[in-house]
Amino acid sequence: MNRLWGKFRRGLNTKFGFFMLITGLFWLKSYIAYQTKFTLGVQGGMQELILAISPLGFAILLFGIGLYIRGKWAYWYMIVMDAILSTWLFANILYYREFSDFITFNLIKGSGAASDNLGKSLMGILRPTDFLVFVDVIFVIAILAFGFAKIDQQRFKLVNSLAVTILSIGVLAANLALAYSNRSGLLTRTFDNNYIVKYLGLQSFTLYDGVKTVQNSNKKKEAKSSQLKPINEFLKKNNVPANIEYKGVAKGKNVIIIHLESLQQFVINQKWKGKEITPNINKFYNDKNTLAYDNFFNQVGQGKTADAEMMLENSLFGLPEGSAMVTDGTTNTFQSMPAIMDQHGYTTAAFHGDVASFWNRDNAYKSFGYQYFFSKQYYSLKKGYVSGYGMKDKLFLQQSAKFLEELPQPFYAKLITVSNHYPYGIEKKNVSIDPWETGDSTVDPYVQTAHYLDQAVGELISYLKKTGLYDKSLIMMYGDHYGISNNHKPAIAKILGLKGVTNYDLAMFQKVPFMIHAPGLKGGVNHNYSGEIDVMPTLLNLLGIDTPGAYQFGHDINSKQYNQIVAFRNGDFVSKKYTKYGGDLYYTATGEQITDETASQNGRLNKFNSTLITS
Amino acid sequence: MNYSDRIINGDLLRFADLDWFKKVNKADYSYTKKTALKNLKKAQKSKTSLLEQNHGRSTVDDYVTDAPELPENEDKAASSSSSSNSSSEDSSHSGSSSADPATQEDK
Repeated sequence: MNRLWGKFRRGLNTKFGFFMLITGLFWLKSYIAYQTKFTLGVQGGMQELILAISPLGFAILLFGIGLYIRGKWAYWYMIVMDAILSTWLFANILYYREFSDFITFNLIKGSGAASDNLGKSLMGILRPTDFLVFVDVIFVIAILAFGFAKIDQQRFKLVNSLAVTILSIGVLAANLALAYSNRSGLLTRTFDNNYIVKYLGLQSFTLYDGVKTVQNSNKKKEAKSSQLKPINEFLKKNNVPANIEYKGVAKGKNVIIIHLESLQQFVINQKWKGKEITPNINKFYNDKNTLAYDNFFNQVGQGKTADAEMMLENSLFGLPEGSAMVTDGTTNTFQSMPAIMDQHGYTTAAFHGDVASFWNRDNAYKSFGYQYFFSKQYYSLKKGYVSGYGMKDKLFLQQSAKFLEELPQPFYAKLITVSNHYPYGIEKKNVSIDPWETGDSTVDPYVQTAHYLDQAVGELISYLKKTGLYDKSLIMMYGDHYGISNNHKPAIAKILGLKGVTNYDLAMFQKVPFMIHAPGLKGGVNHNYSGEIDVMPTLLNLLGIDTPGAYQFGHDINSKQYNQIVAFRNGDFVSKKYTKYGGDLYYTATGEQITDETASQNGRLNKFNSTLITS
Repeated sequence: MNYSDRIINGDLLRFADLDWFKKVNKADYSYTKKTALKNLKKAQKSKTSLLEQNHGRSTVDDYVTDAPELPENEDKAASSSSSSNSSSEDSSHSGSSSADPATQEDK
């Protein structure tokens, strides 16, 4: 024992020993902080392992730089670095407690806009244990100050310093590889800052955020107002007039938007084993005052739900990579639906039973002009209330009533459901329909979660009717994106009752429900080929709100001159006449494949492509 | 889509001035629970909320749900699950294994 202790003391008297100590303590402290101060949603052995590794790479890299430095300056460097990293961790702990998110450079840049008076409430959120993040800093200073460890004046061999640096890069690479094996698209799709910290650690997140911020900032710096000119011309040229029959029919009504997570059009009016899959939504869909759109497509890219929200609230497409709400939601200026409604006297609110930081909603919604955002922290959560990505729909919608009833009218309220979400896990007690029998375990329970979502929506509709809100509101429902991806072709074929699926079938499988109900609205099913980009102009016209010169890339689907071209983010499209999907071309009406394009078809397709690429 | 991407990447709407639209000032919004609930309370002065129109009587009790997680539905849920359940699987969860959000395709 004594020999071990002596060895330890002697080790501490070397620069490398001090490096090991400071790195080890920082790693341990970070890991404990991740586990106790943040809610990162770590589940399973692999994620636990990744979380444990995540602070290590950067700790070795940053403290390892000290090994290149001579004498006492090496120690100074390592202590100052430890203090800086600890202060950053401390600041994030405080910020996270208030906002359930991490500090970003954009927040620091625009601190006046985004800090939410954190300084004022700092004393209220501080906890004594927060200061424990500085214990190791004090400890390493103390052991030097009291001579427990001596400063090693000898130069650490360069080759050894390099070996430590290479080791740190190896650890970072291994961390990244493990993270990607567990969460593909982590850095390209950037769902949530919580994910990046969970998988890569706080330092990696800060670096990543810094790089993204610089890249974005450079792009924006280069931009000029003159770039709007061709866009203005394009939008003017492609503008279509509103249908006078529908214009302003819902003027002054509340707007209630029900986001039907991952719901696809094919389940509407469908039965499984004699039971309607979505009886409540079907009833709403078939109501005489509901305008339903049965050729309405999701147009999302990697940002999926966030892309859908970007299109619905702004009539702007999601980006080819990642999520615009994440990369640009905090800093950009928007002409969003909530802001427009606010300026027309509406109260605006979004409701979601998940953490506010997901898809950067907590910041993007401010840019969109939402006055209120009721996220998970507003809801009472008990054991069994949460499943997968957030609160179970029935409980979420029921608890939303207490906020809904307090919103001054007219209001614009968006309720984002989450239970019908991949991987469609549902507890036995919430099941009331058999699973499909395709043999694909991912696909089969979709019908059960969709049915559960429908029941939750039915309960909300009953409440709205009982309270009179139903007759005072325009109620819109939409499916944000596909739930069953094209990777499940045999199962899709079985569900659709086909022998196999072609690319045409897969294109049509991208349809999602879209329906609008308002008292007195002339309902029916509109067969126009349309998409999410068109929702905002359609809704604005029904509400009788003019937005001349607004930068909206969609068109009013009810317009008699609506062009019926639906662009997908990857360049595919569906139009009234042609469908291009997965490299194949079809006649939309029949699904017949076009293998030999005529010159006239070629000309027409080129015209489509040019419009789609530009819009 | 290029034009739409250009607007987002270049933050071009900061240059756009429309006489009917006032640009959003993010500092006007706070989503911290304390502030938001305070604002909501203050907003009741407008007397246009459903709650105010009901003279302060909450409509929350009008919301009927059969969610089995709620204590009032527990008995019902227990009896229905013991009397049926051909529609559910043997495991306590149906659907594909874990509901681990981080390993999912995302939303």
